[in-house]
Amino acid sequence: MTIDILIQLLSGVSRGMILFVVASGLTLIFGVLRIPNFCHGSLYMLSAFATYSITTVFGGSNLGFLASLIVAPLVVMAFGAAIEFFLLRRISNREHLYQLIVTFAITLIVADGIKLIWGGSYRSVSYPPMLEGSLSVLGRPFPQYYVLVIAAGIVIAALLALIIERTRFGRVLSAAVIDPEMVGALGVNVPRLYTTVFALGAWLAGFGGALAAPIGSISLGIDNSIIIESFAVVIIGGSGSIVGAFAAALIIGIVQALGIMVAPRLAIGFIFIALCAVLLLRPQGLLGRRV
Amino acid sequence: MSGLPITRRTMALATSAAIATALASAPGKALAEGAPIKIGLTTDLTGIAATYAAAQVNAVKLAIEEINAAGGIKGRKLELLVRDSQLKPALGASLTRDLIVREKIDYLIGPDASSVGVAVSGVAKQYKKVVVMTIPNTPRLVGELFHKYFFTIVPSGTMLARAMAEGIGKTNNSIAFIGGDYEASHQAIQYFGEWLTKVNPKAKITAQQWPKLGEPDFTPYITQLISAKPDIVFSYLWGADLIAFIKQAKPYGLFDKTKFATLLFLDDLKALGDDMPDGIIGQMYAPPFGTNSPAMAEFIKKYQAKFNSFPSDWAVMGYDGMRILADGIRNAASMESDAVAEAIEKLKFDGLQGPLTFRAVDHQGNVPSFLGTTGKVAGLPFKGLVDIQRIPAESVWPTPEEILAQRKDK
Amino acid sequence: MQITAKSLAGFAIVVFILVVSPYLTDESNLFVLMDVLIAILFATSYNLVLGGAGLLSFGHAAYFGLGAYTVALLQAHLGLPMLVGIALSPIVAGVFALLVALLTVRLSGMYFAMLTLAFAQLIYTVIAEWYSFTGGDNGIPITVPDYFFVTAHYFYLTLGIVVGGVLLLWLIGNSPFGAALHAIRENPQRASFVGLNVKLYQVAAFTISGALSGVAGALSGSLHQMAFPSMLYWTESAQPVLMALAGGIHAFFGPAVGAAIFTVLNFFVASYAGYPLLVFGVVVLVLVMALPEGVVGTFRRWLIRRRDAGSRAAPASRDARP
Repeated sequence: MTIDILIQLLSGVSRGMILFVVASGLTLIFGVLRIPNFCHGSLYMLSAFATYSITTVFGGSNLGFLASLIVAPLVVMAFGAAIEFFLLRRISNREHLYQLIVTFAITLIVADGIKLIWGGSYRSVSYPPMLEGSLSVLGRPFPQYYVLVIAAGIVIAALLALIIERTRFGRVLSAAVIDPEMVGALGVNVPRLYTTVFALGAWLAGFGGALAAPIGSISLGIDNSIIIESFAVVIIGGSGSIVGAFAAALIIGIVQALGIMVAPRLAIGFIFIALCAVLLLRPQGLLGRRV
Repeated sequence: MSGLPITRRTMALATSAAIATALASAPGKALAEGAPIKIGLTTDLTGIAATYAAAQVNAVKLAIEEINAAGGIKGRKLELLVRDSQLKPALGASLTRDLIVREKIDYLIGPDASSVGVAVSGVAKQYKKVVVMTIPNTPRLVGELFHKYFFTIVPSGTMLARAMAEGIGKTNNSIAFIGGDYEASHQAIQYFGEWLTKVNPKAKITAQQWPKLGEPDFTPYITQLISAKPDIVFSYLWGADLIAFIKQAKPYGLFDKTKFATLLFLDDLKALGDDMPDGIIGQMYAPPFGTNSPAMAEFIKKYQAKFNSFPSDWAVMGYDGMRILADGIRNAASMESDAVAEAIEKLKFDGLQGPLTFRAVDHQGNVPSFLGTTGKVAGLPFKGLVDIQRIPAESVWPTPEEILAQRKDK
Repeated sequence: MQITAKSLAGFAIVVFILVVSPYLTDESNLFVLMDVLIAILFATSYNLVLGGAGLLSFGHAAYFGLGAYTVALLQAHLGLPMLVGIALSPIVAGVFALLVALLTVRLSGMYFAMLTLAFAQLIYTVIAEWYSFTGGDNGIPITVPDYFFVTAHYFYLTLGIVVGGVLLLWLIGNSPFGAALHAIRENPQRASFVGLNVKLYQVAAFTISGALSGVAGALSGSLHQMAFPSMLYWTESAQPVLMALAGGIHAFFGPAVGAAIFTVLNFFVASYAGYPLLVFGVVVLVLVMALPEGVVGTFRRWLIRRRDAGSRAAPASRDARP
């Protein structure tokens, strides 16, 4: 029984890591640009479909997997930068509501755009051959691929922390989360900062999509479930907080995994109950600043 | 809708408008002879079920093309009007009603999702339009929602659940269930359980798992199923969910530890390709490789040539559904819905999967369903089923008494 | 939110045309018109929160859906007729809106939007999961009495309720209550300095808005003869936001115009376009990028500018916005 719980815990962690990678991009965009980026899930979905195409070209080899992990997020990053540069930047002087609606319109366009390019059928990407088996954890099998996912999540978290703590870009970014106007007053090129942050956020969504592709199925509609969970992570963790997002994603992943053992029917509602509770009791999130 | 709307009766009040209306609706009557027979198809081309709808539309188009090439019906060509209900029942009702009132379509052919099927069936009943359903299969359609213009050639949820119980219930005593948390799978396990007590009173359903539809992470359910140590797992997952489940369950060794039986669509086999494990028991609606006949072989060839893809279950049923509707129109004494419904009820149709007739009580076509084991099938670019067992409708469909009792309860 | 004599005259003309429309057009257009009318009520009542109180709610599909479920559940469990359900729908939707408002108005901006979305998803989840009471994902059918099966009869019912609801919203907008909301939207701090209880006004606006959204939902459910969980899903909550923005949130009839445009567009795109979401998304994008004040707002600005150009020397017209 305890081993069961441990395996369950590990699987919750791997799910949490994918959620973290995607949501960390969302929280940066929300923190700096102050836009709830509804098309974040679409970027994730786009990357998953791109991963499918890339791995198909390589015939499901290890090389194809690595190529997809590098190329797909870059494609999505370029797309994200274009969204910011050509659309959001042009209406940055208006209320944020308009930018929110623009990101919502993009979710519709991407959904049908994917259908236009890839067709309506669902797809599947194989695990890379080097990671398709499982290792033994206390005598129980645990998928090798999930180990990679957990490792990738930790590396991304560390890299982001390093960028924020150690680079000038990171300091500007942190300052912008607190007060974007102040950053402008300090002589930072704010429009360029916004494009950079949005592109970075898009890359993270793309990386999450490529990383998650072999685990599940790739279908229209995977944007809807990831975006709601990612918003929950941003709210619970606190806007703009990478550490908060990491903690919140882990909590959601683990509690969902363990919750299924205790009360399976409630699992679906749990995330919203948690979300409402956090917003009511601590609206700035676990590690966010006061709003 | 009884009688004409008020608009017609009081039209004299606005003469000019009346003329405009009369002009607008004139073509309907004046050109009736030789004008095309209009077929309306509301289906979910947007959303997760889009791939089923696309195959359905293709197959219906193929059938219509062939009928038209052969001269149409009673000297008239068939014309297809397609609408996208986007998995929204209310939109499905609106669009279907619009097809009837504005486009003046003559007959309907079935939608995609069961929820939209319920909505479309309601509109068909209200406007007295014949509808042949080729994908939706909730038992409510033949039960309390039944009306005389409704026909289905899809094995109903009841039939599939019972067929599954026939197939796996006799030899397995402890059965674990996993299905998406929605109505159809709750019904499935209920009907399965009821039939199980008949085929094997010793058998027990030892565990039930209800992941939500679209669940990205099945791992917790997989570990729970493994620790339940059943003889067999009965899965009512399908489509994207089934693919995710299979890929996640494989490295945990679920398929080595226990037998696994699941609802299975051809689209799932296509998507998974070689990742589909061998030896899984699959239950299918109407797989083209399930019937070995010249007609089916011919259909597969034509479909592949035209659409460059292997036909799915939905294509088989869509093609037959359209031809059934056409035969009904051809045999009917008049073009009226009542005459066509009567003709379809009497039809002895020679379908892709063999002869097909409808019974009077619920207009359920006596369509088979299929159970087999996954594996390599010669001539298929992806895996298929081997050792296929064809389960005739007559062995599993509810008796007329059961259907009538079901209607009375509601 | 100021109403001019001209726009009132325009309103009267539109209502008159609608009253006679069953004599002018055929049944198929009446169905589209009913969808338009229902969307108008939904968008206009939604805008009491967005344009009126200056709060971005992203969860109004919940109150719309609750209205439809009120009719369906009262019928299924208590056997009450459709009209009773429609009459009670604002109370049920209003109570839920009040509860959510009490919990959410302490937040502002995008946090308020996120919290309303979260609560709406919670309501959606309960309705979609509570099989024994709501029928779950299957929805519940609504039986329409024979009299209202006649399309024109139901059309007049819809028209009467929608016109009544819109007039009510107009009266609210022009009352002292509306003036106070206006002051709060323009400058919440100043409003609270002069003694307005900002939160109380916001809660009241949210509740009224939710209640009338419920009426729109009740009419929609009865029109389509069913209540479905997907009516409450979060993507549906975007609809009134899009309609209000497209029409213009600072003009009273802006959301109504937006509702008409989007409903007709939605309908034809679903009927004739191969890629409905793509077309719809591009239209939204273009409208938001090109017409920041919405169709009505832009049109009104254009009118004012033209008049100002024509009578530069003349004193400002009394119709001009203060």
